[in-house]
Amino acid sequence: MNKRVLKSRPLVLGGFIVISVVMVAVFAPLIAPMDPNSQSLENRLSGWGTPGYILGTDQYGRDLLSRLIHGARISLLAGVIAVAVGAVAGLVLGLLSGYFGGWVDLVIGRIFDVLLAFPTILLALAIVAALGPSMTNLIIAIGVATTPHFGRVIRGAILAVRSRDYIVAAEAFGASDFYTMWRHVLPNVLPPVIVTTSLGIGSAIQTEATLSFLGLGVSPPTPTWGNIINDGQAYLGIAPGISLFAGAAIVVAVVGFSLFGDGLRDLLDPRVRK
Amino acid sequence: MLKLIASRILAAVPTLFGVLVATFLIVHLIPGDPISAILGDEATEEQIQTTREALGLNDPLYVQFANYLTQVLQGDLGTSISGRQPVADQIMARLPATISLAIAGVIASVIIGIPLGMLAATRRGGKTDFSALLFTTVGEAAPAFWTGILLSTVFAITLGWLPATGAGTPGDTWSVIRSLILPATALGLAGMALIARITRSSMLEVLNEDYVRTARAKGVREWVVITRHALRNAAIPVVTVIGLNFGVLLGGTVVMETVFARPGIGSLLVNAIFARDYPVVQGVTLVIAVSFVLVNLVTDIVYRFLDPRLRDEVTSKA
Amino acid sequence: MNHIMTESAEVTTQSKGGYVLEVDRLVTEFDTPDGTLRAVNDVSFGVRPGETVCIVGESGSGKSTTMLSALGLIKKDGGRIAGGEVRFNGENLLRMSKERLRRIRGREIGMIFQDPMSSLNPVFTVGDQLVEAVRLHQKVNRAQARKRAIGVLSLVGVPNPEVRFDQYPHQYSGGMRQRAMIAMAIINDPAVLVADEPTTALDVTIQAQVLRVLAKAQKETGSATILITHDLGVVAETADRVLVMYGGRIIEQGDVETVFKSPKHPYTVGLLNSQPRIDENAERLKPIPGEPPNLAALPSGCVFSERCGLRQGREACTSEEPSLQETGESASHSAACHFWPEVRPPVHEQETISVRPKSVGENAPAETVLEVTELKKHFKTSGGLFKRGDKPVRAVDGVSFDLRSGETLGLVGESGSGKTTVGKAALGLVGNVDGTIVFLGKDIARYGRSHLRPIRKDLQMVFQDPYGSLDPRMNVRKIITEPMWIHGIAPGENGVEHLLERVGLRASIAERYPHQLSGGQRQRVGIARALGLRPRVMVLDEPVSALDVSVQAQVINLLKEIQAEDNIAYLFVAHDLAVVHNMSDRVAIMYLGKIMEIGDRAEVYKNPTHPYTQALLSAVPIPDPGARDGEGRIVLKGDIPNPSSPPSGCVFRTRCWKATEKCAIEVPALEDRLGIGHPSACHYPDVPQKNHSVTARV
Repeated sequence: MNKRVLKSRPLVLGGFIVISVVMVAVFAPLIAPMDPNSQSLENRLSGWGTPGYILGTDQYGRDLLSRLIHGARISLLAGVIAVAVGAVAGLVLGLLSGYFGGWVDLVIGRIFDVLLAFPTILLALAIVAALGPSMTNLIIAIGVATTPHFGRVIRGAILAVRSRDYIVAAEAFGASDFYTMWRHVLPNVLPPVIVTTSLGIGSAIQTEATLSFLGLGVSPPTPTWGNIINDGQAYLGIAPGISLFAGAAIVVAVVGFSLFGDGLRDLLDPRVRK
Repeated sequence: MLKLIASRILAAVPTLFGVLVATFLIVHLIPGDPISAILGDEATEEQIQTTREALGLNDPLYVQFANYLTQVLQGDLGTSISGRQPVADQIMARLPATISLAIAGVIASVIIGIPLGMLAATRRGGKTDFSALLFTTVGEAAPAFWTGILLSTVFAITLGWLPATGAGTPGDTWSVIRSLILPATALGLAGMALIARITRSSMLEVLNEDYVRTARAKGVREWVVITRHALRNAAIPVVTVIGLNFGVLLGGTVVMETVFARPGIGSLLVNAIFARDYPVVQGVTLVIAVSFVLVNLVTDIVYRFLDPRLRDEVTSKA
Repeated sequence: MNHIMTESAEVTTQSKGGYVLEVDRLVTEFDTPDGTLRAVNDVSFGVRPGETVCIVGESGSGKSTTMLSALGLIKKDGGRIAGGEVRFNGENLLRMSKERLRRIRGREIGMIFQDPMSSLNPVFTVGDQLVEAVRLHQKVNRAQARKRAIGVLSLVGVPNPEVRFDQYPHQYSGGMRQRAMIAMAIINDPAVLVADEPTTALDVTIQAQVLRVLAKAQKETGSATILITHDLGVVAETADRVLVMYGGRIIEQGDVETVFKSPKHPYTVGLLNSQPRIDENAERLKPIPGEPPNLAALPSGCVFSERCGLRQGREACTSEEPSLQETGESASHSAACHFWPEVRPPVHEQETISVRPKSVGENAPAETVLEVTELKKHFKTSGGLFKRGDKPVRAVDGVSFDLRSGETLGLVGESGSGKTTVGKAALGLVGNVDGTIVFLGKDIARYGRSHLRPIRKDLQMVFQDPYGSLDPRMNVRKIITEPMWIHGIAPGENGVEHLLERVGLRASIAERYPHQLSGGQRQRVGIARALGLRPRVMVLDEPVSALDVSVQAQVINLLKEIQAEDNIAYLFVAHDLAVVHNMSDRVAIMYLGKIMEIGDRAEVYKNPTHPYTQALLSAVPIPDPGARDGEGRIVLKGDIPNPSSPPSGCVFRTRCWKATEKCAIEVPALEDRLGIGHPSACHYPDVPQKNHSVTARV
């Protein structure tokens, strides 16, 4: 098992990135060289490599590296909580839908259909438009937008598992519905949920960045990767580093979660486990 | 075939109804009194009354919804609060810019994604395959608006080859096309990953199918095996993903129009959100969602048309 | 220069044996994560025009890979040819240009594959695919190609070929698809026809049709035929010569008579002894111990040494690989065994009068444990919101039988017969059934799930797919103890080990996961799980159909032993008439949801009175070339009708040669019209006049 973990390059690389990003976020105040909000007017918009400011500064002379490190906190937190909300809601609805079938499945399926008719960003925008921009609303918005994706995956997985003979076998030896669900269906449905979670966190980070970039997410001065890009957009000609590095941070984090998710998918497949 | 189309349209009706309910509810999700949320605390009594009237908030909920439904079905999306214009007119005026961007984005993602996926499939396990994987992973991870900003910095601001803003002069096709290149590429790069990945896996799966072996066994040339026997089958899941991607790209246009200051319905939406112009928010949301449902409808029909097994199943049932 | 010389020399050298296709010391290797494995190891043989050569073997024997390698079709999965030559009319296929090979494939060598559904391209019409095959190799226009295609479709017995030409593969039934596949293979009059398990995916009555079509196709084209199969009956039926493969090698070859009558390799003998037959009654099969070899870990010396009863610890078997040696039994018969002169011929037991029920004693009538009366199950086809006028599928339509403790009732039928639904319904695993299911005096047909739960331990099931029926995330110990735990039965000290021992597994297997076990081991685990509850009734749903013949025999013997010890009643659901013959005390023949004939096993097999039973028995190929009697066989016309629209009156009438107007109107009751002791559901039953070995093939 350990050998297989180490052999899987996407898993190792993705895991390394994910753990690094998490560590950076958790220990941001310890790692960041400066206070992300302390301004230094004489050092405004300095490029990367400026002594004391490895990645340079923004229009208020705030240290970009420190802002990116602190930004990891918000981006990751928003991503993780939003996906947790979506995953739990999706898991519950997906389980109900997949296990009971019939009209329960029909109603839940229709709700998913309707939610999926809105592109993720649009749904998140509409919810934020109604609720107003704030961190909490952002998380709710992304969570709601994520729910049907989870629900679909879980429902599909359950339908696949339910048609297997070991479920019939469980009924044949007298297992109750709840027991079968808990002991046989759920464990076999969890791997796709875990994989979708990892992939979902990546796209939630993107959605958060997009909303913050539009000014509809977390509002300044709290740094997030999205609003740092937004800040930098006005100074692309003079200090392209601001938007560039913030975007690069998003790319690295999202690549990390997606590699990790792909790696997990292979690892958790019992057919290839040896 | 007509039966198939009719049955698919019929199947989309409940979803469209749900979409209407959802957009209708946007205003009712607003915490507290929507009017004060919209107008702020300093609004005059007259303003409040007019807005209330405009939004039809004085009636019971079901009456409001019935009114909303009748209006929408007649093509009336209400009146914008800030611009005092019919929302439908505003949207119609800006729709072409958005649709052309979305279509250009889909074309870009297909042009990049499909060859990339096929290349990766035929060179499975090699360096090309790995590079393609890396390229698509990064392309997918990069937020579209950021890629747009980078492209704009390089090709518009620094090199000056293409316009950084606007949607071109109406009537001047060349300027319209030039204005589309950068945002469409940014959208395409974001959307190609999924298409490339599905093309690759679907191609690999199909190349392992027994009927491909049959084709080889009866003496079909290798490139004909790939282009005739494999591609047609591999295209089936790819079409579905292109349809799904259209939705992602529609969402992407919203942001891309802000980045490139394009006068489309996406930038209209973002501005309306800031202005708390709820009729416009509702209208744009509805139009985008309905377009997405329609695109999925077309995808579904094309999908069933490509796969004779499904074609038959539906005609016999409906 | 040198290179060209050799090639031209090869072309002029005609094959010594007059072979049109000759495989010479072929070696095929696969690179896998576990290392390189040899799927085909030094295989040589040839086939002459007009001759049928059968390659027979179990899974992993290399029988299919041999032919796929020979035709350059193993590119995928990292397969590669590591040595040898394949000569077609003296030309080496493995060294010629791609273009030259392409012109031979499909033109000179036609191929038929196992699964006709996946082997035809689903997005093109059958006609398109046939026309393509013609026009790849012949300069004809589309209209001419179409004419040829329709001609060949009609030759292979596709009705309405003009209409069928424009249909897609999914609009064909399984048997029709295989006919279309045969049409495609012979459309260019090939010199060689290769058929890879062509009837394995088909029902037995359809198999009989397709084998006949294949024979006809061969006659028309005069082609040399290579037929790859695992079915000894099919071999005996069709082969002129036989190659027996094991672990990637040919271990015996010769003419069909010699290989079946006096085989000289212990494996061939073991295979023949493992095969249950409808014309013989072996109380106990004599299986080969162990399992087919893992190609990644072949034993040194003789590949069969680990399972061989003849080895007796002799060193030669493990130190030296035996080569094929002429035995002198007949021309060109050879076997790869160091000690072939010691090989005893396969045992044949004559039909004996059944002395069962065995464990209960002959006088005491066994207790009836399960009584099913007028069982009906109609499934609604799901059509979503907008369905209209969907007819329900009558999966089971009025089935009655009873089951006594210690006996086996075999439930036989082809696809769509409803046999599996009957099996599941008998255990209360199918909701909304009509009729009664009385288990020990209680009608459980309408019990709810919670009501059924306490009874469940008495009614157990063994599934067809031994992998799908075990939760992949539980180890064997958990799988076996779970049902006991649910019913509050203590497994007792060494309970799991004891159960494993009873099903012939080592105790160390308890900690393994299903994917680490072989098919046979998984099935034994499934049986152990059911046994742990000490059930009164067990439904065995095709429990051996996924297993290789040698392993199948082991499991059949095991099931019989368990029954004798525990006095369990078996409802044995299967499609294989030979297996049912071997396992059952009584049999019920099902067709489209109804029982056609039911009675004592020996009675029904000896004196089948229903035309369907007669046809079914006649369609079973017997693994004895002496019993070959192609002309006398009853070959039913047409396909099994769709169970959602069964024929009126007698459901079998559309395929029956005796059908009259009465049959279309009146449903025949299941009764003993001839007074011979067992009932059948036919208006015109008869007892075939001839003796047993021929009755089955009127």
